[in-house]
Amino acid sequence: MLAILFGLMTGTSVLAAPQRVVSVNLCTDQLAMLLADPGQLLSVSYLAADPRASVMVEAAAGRVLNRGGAEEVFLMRPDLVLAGTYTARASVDLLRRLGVAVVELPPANRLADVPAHLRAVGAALGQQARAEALVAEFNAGLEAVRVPQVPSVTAAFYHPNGYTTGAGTLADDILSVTGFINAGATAGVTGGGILPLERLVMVAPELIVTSAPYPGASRSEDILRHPALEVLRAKAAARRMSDADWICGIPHILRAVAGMAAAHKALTP
Amino acid sequence: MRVILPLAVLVVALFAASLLIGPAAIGLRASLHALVTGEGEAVVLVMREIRLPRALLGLMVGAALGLSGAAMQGYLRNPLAEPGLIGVSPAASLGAVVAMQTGLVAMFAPALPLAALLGAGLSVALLFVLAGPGGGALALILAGVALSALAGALTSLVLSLSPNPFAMMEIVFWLMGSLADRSMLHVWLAAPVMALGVGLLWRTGRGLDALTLGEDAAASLGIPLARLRAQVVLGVAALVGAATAVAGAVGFVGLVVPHLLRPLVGGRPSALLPVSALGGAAVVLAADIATRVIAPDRDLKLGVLTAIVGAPFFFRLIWQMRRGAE
Amino acid sequence: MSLLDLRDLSVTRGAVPVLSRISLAVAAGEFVGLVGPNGAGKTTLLRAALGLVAHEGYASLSALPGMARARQAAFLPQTREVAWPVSVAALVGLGRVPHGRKMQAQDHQAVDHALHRMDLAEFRARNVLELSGGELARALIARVLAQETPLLLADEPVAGLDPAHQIRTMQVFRDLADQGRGVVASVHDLGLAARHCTRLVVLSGGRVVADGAPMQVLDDATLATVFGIRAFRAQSDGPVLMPLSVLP
Repeated sequence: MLAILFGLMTGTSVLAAPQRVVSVNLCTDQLAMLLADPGQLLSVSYLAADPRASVMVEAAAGRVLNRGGAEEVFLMRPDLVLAGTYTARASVDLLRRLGVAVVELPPANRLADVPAHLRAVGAALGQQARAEALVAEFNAGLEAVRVPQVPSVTAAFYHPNGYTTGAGTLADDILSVTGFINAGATAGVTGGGILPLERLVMVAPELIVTSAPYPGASRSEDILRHPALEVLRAKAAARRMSDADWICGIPHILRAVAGMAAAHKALTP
Repeated sequence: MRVILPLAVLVVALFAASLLIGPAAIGLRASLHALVTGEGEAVVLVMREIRLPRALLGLMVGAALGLSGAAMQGYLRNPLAEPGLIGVSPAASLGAVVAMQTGLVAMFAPALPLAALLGAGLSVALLFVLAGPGGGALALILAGVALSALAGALTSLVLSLSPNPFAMMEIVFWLMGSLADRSMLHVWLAAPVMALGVGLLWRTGRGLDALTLGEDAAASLGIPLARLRAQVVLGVAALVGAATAVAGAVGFVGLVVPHLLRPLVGGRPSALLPVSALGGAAVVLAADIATRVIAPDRDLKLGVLTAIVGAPFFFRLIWQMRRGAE
Repeated sequence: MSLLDLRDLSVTRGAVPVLSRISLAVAAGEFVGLVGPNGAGKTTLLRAALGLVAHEGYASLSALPGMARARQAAFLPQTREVAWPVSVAALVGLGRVPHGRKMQAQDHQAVDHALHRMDLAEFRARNVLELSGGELARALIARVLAQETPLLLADEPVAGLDPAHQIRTMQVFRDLADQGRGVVASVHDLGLAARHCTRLVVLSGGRVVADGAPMQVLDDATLATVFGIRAFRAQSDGPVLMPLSVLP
């Protein structure tokens, strides 16, 4: 956080607000679309227009979409580039060497990162007032949906290839504010990782959250139809999550929180 | 007999180990009790639906690869003939991937092993034409390298063009093989096709023995060579196709196993067939156990281990051939 | 009784005739030496007689189904290849393939007999890939003997053997013939052929140019026109023929 602010001080924030902003990361795309003035945001990444990943497809419609290549971005002559700390390192480094101002945002690992990210992007765009308003709205929304009880119901995320989200993730934080214990974290997974199916079976969670299948066939998704998982699902509550709601630490994450809070309500009498 | 019995004991032991070793820590007695009696909810689920199919598939896939390696080598009279190395398994992968991505498998599940069988069959037939019996190691390896590269590239192409974001990640699986997260559905899918392959190859022993003396001598001994070739092509295709459809392309098993066991059975191709099937089962079961012990949370691929163990054998074979040629 | 009957047998490779209308009958008790210069068609004749190459005309053996033919005639190919490190006994045992799936007592007897005949009794457990060229050649001949067929076709069986084993092998074939079986062997060594065979067939350019008792067939004219050589003849416990020089 400090590093970002420091970057802003030495970079663009002292000057007038940037007028040709290009975002190359799904999460900065959506934050920028929430905060920017009309015309201020020149281009967003192509993922912002993909309904499987983005919750702001409509806002992205009609904008110039980029794939984050340095050449492509440079030719747009941006005065600020917004990027994620893990997106296209080589492109970001090249843009910096070409003298383009770049602000990088780390991925959100907890709900408290959402206000911080709103403020950071707001500051970069010169939209501090709008950012503060959204922060207040988000905090109020979160208070309204959070489940105050001590977490007691076990839930597990189970994705293609046996991938789960463990401790130290946004999804884990969402579970903890909605009254769930994350079985992935209990099983020792930190960040994202593979939870072998038999460990999941032994934990026998009361709620299993899986992602909706993608079009086309894949072997990775076979595991979501594994007979052992079917048995678990038959006993537990099952929930299909929409990936787009869960990916980025933006105010829309409240939809995921509300969904889990509702699931918790259904499971506790 | 004196080779088969110890090997059979080894396979049984590894099969048991495969059932008992896994990421979920379950006691020995609890797991066996659950497997046999079906009492104890979660443990039964783990034993019967997760570990049992995995162990069964390890046994089946290994036996299939060992047996087809021995049969191909016997027919081609070439110890370098190995389904994974010379493009048969990659071609089977291609068949399976095409069947999945065209939606054929979603409509008709057995299309998966059958399409893999078709891919494997075409590649074996092509290899036999390009590098027929006694066609020499060079022709076989050249044809095999070209076929492997082509099949691997087309598999990657098909997966890259898939609308499913996970398909791309599966290139490694189709080229390296894994038994992770398979279910009894896969066992039932592969079993009949493999049974067909075993039935075909089981009857080739006498012909392969006679081929030790070359084609003319074998024909003069009354061996119908055209029929023998058809049996080997179809048998290998069925075994490799079914194995690849459920476990991806696992290399080197069909090379290492016959090579290690040949001296123990006095070099006779017919005696090598059942022994290689057992040996293959032992190698794949052991490799699969190793993937779980070394890195339980990483889904280490089977082919990674078989290649690490198998590649040195391949080098040794080539070295021996070179020295033999001088 | 005729063991082999060829009538108007022709083989063409592409448009080139390799064998032209060969007619030949071999009876029990005959040891027929097939002689002729390189490329005369000796190997093709043996293979066509067995039906291993496509041919026109009639060949009594090639009309038979595979296993029945294999019990009628054994064939020793010219190439001495053995693909796998089997034991000598196992190699010779391959001769019993046409006689049933499982090795019976009589099969083991046939193998022992063949090993003994080829002077290989103490080699029976040896790995064939460790044998010398001559030992391997003898083991392969023993395989043909173990097949115990009325007729035996051999393509250059004595090439590469030492003198003692050359003579011994020719003698084995002659004994088989004397015991009422038939042998057809292509032979390059005219001296051996003249001395041991009961009959010689001279092939040249895919045709039979002479057929009869050895010393009558190998007269000066035939040696000159077919082989381009002249030879010395004598009698010493049988016919002696020694090629002397190449004719200009």
